[in-house]
This record gives sequence, structure tokens and C-alpha cells, in this order.
Amino acid sequence: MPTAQLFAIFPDLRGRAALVTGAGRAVGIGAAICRALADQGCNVFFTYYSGGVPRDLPEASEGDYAVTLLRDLRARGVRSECPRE
Amino acid sequence: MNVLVNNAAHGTRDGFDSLDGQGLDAHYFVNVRATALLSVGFAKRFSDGAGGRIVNLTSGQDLGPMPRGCGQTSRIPRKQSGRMDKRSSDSLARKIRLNFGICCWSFWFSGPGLGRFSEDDTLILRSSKYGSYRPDPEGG
Repeated sequence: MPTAQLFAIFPDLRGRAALVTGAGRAVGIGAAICRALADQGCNVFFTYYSGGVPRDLPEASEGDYAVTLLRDLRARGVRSECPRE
Repeated sequence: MNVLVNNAAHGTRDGFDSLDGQGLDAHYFVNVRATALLSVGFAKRFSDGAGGRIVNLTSGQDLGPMPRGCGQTSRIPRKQSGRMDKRSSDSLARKIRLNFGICCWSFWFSGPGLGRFSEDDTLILRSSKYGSYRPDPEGG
């Protein structure tokens, strides 16, 4: 089942904007929500944890995923921004 | 801004014995304080008559134990966040939704990979008094 089908489908999200917090991990729920919103045409702004690698989340050390996610969302044809250090 | 998804969370798996003030404060600041302030800021600036959404993700630990989940330190603030959803959704609905259409939802994710998302994860919605979840084109 495509990821987008697991989320609520709003009447029309095209051209609207969403802020998603905590979207710094490739396998995370936040990133999945960002991608699902973008697939529905919603502009996505997201935040992510940049304070180091949490010891309970070793997978967070997979690099600066925010940059990858930003590129991924823009490739889906929507505006996307995130805080830059 | 039409949609706010409060997904960021602080959690640890260090158990009850490691409970201390610093740990509690860290959980409170991320899981409760930031969620509340972002929601308030979102509501204050919201002006789209077509409607908006606040979606809060919680760990659902007030519904049952999470054997492989976070330790005790994360339960109090996350549980409090879930309770806050019920109250804020009512407040938002009464004060704002009637005028601007903001709904406030609370989601509980459960699955073997806490904090992760996969197609095998179970999604359980605890809908607010004024919100509902219908995963179909007629939903919202």
C-alpha cells in the first residue's frame, strides 16, 4: 500500500502549507508525514533535531538527512524549507 | 500555514531508576511546552477560512504498557500531552474552529519500531471530541 494511502486525505491540500516538527530521520514518522503531505501538493516546512546523535536513536547518525529530505520534497513539486545552521 | 504536525519528541529508555530532574525537564520542554507553544502560535496566526489542522502525535502510554518502548521518564509528559490534546481540542473547537475551522487531532502510533514508520505499523487514532479520522477522499 502506498504510504500516502495510510494518511488522511484532506479535501485539497494543493498550495497549502504545513509545518512538521521532528523530521530528521529517514526512517522517522516525521519524514514520512512530510512526504505524504508533499504527495498531496502541500508545501512543507519542517524542523529537525540538530544537537547531535541521541544515544537511543543510533540510526540518526546516518548523516544530515534534512538536506536529503528537503531535496526529496522539492522534487515532488512543492515548496519546502527547513532551518539551516 | 494550514497544518501543524507536532511530531518532535524527546524520549529515553533509561527506566524508572534513572528518573531525575534534568531528564524530566528535557521531556517537558520538548513534549509538552514546545507542543503547546507551537499550537498557540499557530492558532494566533491562523486566518484561512478554508480550515486548518493541528495534529499531535503521542506515544499512547496512558492506554497501556509499551514493553519495548520508552522508559518511565517519558511517560509522564507524553501522557500529559495526550490529556492536553483533549482539552486544547475542545478549547480550539469552541473558540476558533467555529470561526476558522481548526481541528485538533491526537494520534497514537504503535508498532515494533517505536518512532519509525513503516507500512506494517498500526495507526490508531484517538479522535478529539470535534475531530475525526476517515482515511478516504471524503475524510477531513
